[in-house]
Amino acid sequence: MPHSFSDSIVACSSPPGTGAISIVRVSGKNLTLIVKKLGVKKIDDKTSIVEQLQIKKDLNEKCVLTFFKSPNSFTGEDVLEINCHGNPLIVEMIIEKLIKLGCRRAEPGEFSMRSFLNNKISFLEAEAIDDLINATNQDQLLAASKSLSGKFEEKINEAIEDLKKLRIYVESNIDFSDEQISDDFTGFKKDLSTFIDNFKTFVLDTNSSKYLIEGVKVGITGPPNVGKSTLMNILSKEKASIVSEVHGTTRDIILRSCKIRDYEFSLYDTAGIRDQSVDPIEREGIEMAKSLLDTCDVIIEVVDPTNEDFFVNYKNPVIRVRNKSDLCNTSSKNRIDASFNNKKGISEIKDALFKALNLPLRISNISFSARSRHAELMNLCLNELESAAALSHENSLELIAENLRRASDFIGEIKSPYSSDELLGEIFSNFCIGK
Amino acid sequence: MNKFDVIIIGGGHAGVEAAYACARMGKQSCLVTNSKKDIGKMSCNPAIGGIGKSHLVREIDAMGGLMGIAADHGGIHFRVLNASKGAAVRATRSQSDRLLYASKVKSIIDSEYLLTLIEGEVTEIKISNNEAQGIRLLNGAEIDSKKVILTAGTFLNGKLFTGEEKEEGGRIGDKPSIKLADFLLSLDLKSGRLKTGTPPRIRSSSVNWKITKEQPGDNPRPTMSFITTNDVHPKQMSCFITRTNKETHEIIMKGIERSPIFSGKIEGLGPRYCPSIEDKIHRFADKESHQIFIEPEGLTSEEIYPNGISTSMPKDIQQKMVRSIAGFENAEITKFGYAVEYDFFDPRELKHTLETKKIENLFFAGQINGTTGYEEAAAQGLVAGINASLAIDEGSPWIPKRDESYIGVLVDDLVTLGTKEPYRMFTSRAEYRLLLREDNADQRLTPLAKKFGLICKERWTKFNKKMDEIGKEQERLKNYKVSLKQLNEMNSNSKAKSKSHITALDALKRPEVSYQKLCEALKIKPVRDEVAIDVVTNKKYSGYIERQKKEIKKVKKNENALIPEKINFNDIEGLSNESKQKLSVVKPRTLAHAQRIPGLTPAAISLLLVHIKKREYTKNDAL
Ligand SMILES: Nc1nc2c(ncn2[C@@H]2O[C@H](COP(=O)(O)OP(=O)(O)OP(=O)(O)O)[C@@H](O)[C@H]2O)c(=O)[nH]1
Ligand SMILES: [Mg+2]
Repeated sequence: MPHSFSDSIVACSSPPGTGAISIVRVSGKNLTLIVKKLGVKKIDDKTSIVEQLQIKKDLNEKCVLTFFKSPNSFTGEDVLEINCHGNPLIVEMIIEKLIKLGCRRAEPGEFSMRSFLNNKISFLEAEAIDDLINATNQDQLLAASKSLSGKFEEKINEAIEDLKKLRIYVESNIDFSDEQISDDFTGFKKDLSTFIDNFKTFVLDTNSSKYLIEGVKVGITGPPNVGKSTLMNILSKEKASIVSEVHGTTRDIILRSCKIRDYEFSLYDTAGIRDQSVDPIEREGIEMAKSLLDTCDVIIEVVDPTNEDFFVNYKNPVIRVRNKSDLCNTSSKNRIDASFNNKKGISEIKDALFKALNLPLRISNISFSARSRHAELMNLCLNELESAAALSHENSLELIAENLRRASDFIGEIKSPYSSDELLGEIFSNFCIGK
Repeated sequence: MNKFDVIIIGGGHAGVEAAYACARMGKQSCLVTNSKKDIGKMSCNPAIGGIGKSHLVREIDAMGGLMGIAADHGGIHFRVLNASKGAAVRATRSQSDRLLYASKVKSIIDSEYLLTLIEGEVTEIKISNNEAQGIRLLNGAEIDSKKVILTAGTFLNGKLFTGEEKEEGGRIGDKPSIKLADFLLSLDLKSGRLKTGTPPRIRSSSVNWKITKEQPGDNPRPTMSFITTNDVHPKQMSCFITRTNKETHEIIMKGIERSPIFSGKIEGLGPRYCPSIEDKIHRFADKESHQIFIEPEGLTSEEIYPNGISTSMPKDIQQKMVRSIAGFENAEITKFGYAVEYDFFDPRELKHTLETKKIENLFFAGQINGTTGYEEAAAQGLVAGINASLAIDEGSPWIPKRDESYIGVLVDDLVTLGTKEPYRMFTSRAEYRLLLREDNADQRLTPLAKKFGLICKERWTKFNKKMDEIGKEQERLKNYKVSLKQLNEMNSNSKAKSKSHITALDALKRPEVSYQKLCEALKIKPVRDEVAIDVVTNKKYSGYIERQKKEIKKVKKNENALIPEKINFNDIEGLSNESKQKLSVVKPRTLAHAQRIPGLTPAAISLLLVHIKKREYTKNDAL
């Protein structure tokens, strides 16, 4: 069912559950009638009043009401905020009362969507607001608030401007070749490579910021009985997975999160990979494990001395580890040597994780919050730039132009991702209700 | 009272192309011109083609149009621009003898028996119930028709400026058709003002040629048309190159207040891309010199056209400025340069068929829509002619697509973006540039032209032969294997290291492998250029082409998302008044079309989308 914009929407916009105060937010084209029906005689723009609201037959609740007249509100419509005692029952009663008065329940992200559609916030701001709401630690909070104040958008705009200059050189060289406006191809190549260097730093920052906001997804894989679950338990400091000497102990995917240095990691322990398993349940587990690995940011592949030639190619970065070094006296050539039972190799694995993800060890000056959506588009943009740089001869100028055009489309999409309706709905529906 | 299928007003480049298309599509057509002498007249620099423009010429030609053929019969100088770059941006440019060009156009027009040529001044278009029904002439005569194509737009309400001097009227020497202009302005169509300029003309016998640099035409000589050969070309002439210098720039800077542009006399917006010399010197102040192409105006002409110094400075300054330039020390100016300001109609009030949205059966093509250039005009004439004819047959219209032709880019840009300066084609306007090459215009359009009945048997046979040869050459190259050693021999710094043997066809994908070298290495006879270029370019571009095709598919989804014709943009909830207005002017047909409207925010597009979905939703609900 498509959204409608003519009706008024309501939702609780403070965290669910019990607290000191809860906030119910209403937004609509014109709330005059609803306010009147609530029994409020007069409320001015941007003022708060205290009012006894009758929310059930014999129940009055003392609330603080704040009114924002359109267009000077978060959504650009009339907005009414009702602060009440932080009891979920009271909140629900107020919402039901408002529904009776003609409001409907807001869908997730609908307030932000209206705000965006009324040009009150940009798309990037909408995302930053969402990040701010969902922040669970100080670093995330700081990053999101910087993004909200426009830091990320500024950097994107800068890159767009720089890219435009490069494109102007190329395009005018094609369309005005006779007028000799600019024909310094070597100079252009130099400018391009400087831009790429700067852009790479930006991509790295975006990546680490993305991991800060969204966490890192780690898959642990390898043959059966090599110590995968043991590693999982050590990293998550929990007894999450069953450890035993039986091959094929783990079958389902086990998820635990943990904090390594400043970042949140989601660890996935999976079934050991072997080809000749006859057990259908184990085989199902193996299939699940394989498809999970494609979605991980990084993979830890564990083997032990009995199966050192186990080797799989992965789409994503991988850290290869050999466990149980206590059982043999040779050292491994291309794998991290570890003995989980003796806590040996753990800090090397942690270091390798950060290296594989290009993450700074500590969050020092993250200056914005970012998402996978941003990081993906920026990586696509970088690929195009690098293809352009690889074309070394002027006779491929039209191909360089094409790479740069696509690069600028990708980066532009970060700011305006509304090429299709599904995408728009999808992005906003990931937001919280009431926001 | 006569009754025609189509009346075409104006015998310029748009008019003749429109009339010729209608006649080929079997329509009783009538071309009305002020003077038969004006048919196919090149009123400015007699050049056809050039970057972006040559693509249009090839496309018009691929659809059986006359511009390319006339340019071959009139061409006295041919050159391929961007020759050192890839095939997609290579562009043929020709310099014509204007008399030869016009006489070829005239003879093609005369040979169409369905086409009637009438001399007379049109004063009015007969309109009833918002439908065009014919025209009225100065002598009171009326001619009726099912469709009217208006192409007589050269300098409507033109004002000429030379320094402080101002003169009403179109091109120097032309009489402006004031009656028609007044009539058009009474039609309640949105109009705007534009500006363009010309350089002074110089007597060729007064030029000191010795100190200029000669630029001969290309050898081998390219043709503009797919079906001509270069033995139809008349005698060839060279162009010459000279440059402005410090002194020239000083003369101009000293007198710049006396230029009508700087003194604010001209309101119209001039083109940014071929600015007057005073503009160039003002804007690129750090450039010490600008190049000037000295172009012949014809085999028998006494004048040359100094391309690059268009100006509207006062005559005394023009004189001094010209004489400061190497080779022009004793130059005799035959006509002074001038700027002209004129009216045009907002092309956003046209459909993609070039029919006006307000008045049915009335089509606009050419400069009247805000474009500059013969090629741009001709392309529009073709589109209007074809669509007028299709509409008479009640066939579905031809809406040229952006991924199919520069003609499609031109039309879509005009009706979607409108224009603030004289619109000129560039390759950078085409987002699918790699697909739209000069050399494959026939592949993109000739089959379609065949369907419309626009082309002769000769062209169709020739086209099929070429396609056949392309297929054969691809097969042949697939069957040859090239070794790593051979590849390395072709280029000393080649880094070929993959498989030891690849097919000769795949070898072409490497940037360092040229077709010539490949044939030499394999000791095989190369095929003719026209065939080789297609085989080679398709291979060299293959990765890029695949990606562009994917992109097209993606866009197509929104291109197929039709906006209901009866939609009222003012009904869209939440939309700002500015966006409502923009949408109401352009009346986009599809979502993709709406997305191309400049200044329409993504948020506005989202609201439009939601609105359409909701309409569909309620409609389905009602069922
Ligand atoms: N000797 C030695 N044994 C270890 C070490 N680490 C783990 N083990 C043992 O190896 C066995 C298998 O450990 P798990 O962690 O269950 O192995 P797994 O890879 O999860 O096995 P599956 O879930 O069956 O695929 C257990 O008996 C562990 O105690 C080590 O460093 N040295
Ligand atoms: Mg396990």
